[in-house]
Amino acid sequence: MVEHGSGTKNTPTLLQLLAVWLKIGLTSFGGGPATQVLIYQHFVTQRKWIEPEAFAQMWAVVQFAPGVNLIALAILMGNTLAGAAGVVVSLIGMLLPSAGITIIMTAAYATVRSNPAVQKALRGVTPALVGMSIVFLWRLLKPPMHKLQKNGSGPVLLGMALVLCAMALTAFNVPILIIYFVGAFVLGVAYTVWARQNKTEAHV
Amino acid sequence: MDWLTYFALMLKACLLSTGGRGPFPYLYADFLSHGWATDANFAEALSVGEISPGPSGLWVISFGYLTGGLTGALLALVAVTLPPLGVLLVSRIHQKLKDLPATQGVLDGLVLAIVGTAVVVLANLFVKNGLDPVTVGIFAASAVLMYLGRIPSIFILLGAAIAGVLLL
Repeated sequence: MVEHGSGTKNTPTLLQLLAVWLKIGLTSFGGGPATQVLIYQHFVTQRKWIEPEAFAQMWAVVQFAPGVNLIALAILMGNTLAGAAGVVVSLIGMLLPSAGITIIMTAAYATVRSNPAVQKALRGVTPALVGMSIVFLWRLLKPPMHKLQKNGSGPVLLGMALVLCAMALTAFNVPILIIYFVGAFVLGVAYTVWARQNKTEAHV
Repeated sequence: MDWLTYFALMLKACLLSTGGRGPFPYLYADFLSHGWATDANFAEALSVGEISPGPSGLWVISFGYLTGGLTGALLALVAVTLPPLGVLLVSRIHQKLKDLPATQGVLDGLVLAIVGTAVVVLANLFVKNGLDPVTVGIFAASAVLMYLGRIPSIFILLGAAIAGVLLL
């Protein structure tokens, strides 16, 4: 579909592609961070099927895609290396083992969940998940806030107001899609207006 | 169980979000209001997603198993797999759109809204789990360790589980 074979040095056969994804899907214990490292090691560092610049470009594109970024990355890599068949092979290879293990682990957990010690462990894990997620959100927030800062203190205040507005709307149970739309719409208009202002100022 | 609605809500959550944690606010609102999930289910599924192989976003499959058994897990697998196919379309128009100020604004505005929404959902989860010195301590320690980035998240979760067993 997309440019075939671009950004690649060696082209794997479908069987090789499947084998590597299966290996990643089976061994990437530790969620997304572990998976991302293994993908880079196998495809870029070891086999040189994809060049570092092409990988960086794909990672950027993936941020714009709906759904889980790493699944979108697997789709994009599969398509680049072997077209539609590559997409199918990559999805099966990455997801079948990892989804299978995820289900088995959940089923195993479900059999011990009523155990008081497991209950306590879960009560300890919950605040840790929240703490880790807050750091993740902080990192997510930094790039747009830096961009707003370059436009002056007004834009920074607008950005902070949008975050607070989203918090208030969520607390009042406004549908999430509406909250997302408000944020996207406000900054979409604002960026367009600022870009025009900058242009006219540059001409003066 | 109304599987059609179940699947539709899962697909919506995955389609209208990006990243592994993206579906969380949607599922939290929809599944709690249907009475299909508890607060604990989210912590359980998110933990499995952080530990098991594959993208952290596979927590949705674990969540599917906890709320709908094997059928739920398989429906979740489909719901997680379909939306990222949109990347093939996105990669075609990315070059044209990425430099437009409006595109940048829409994406940045989306991020701000996502952060605001997620903070409130996380605060809900945290408070319902029980506010006491131990949970606040675990929260703070995990945030600091995650920020420093020296310890893989899997070990932070393990430490929190042990702290929970010993101190709670």
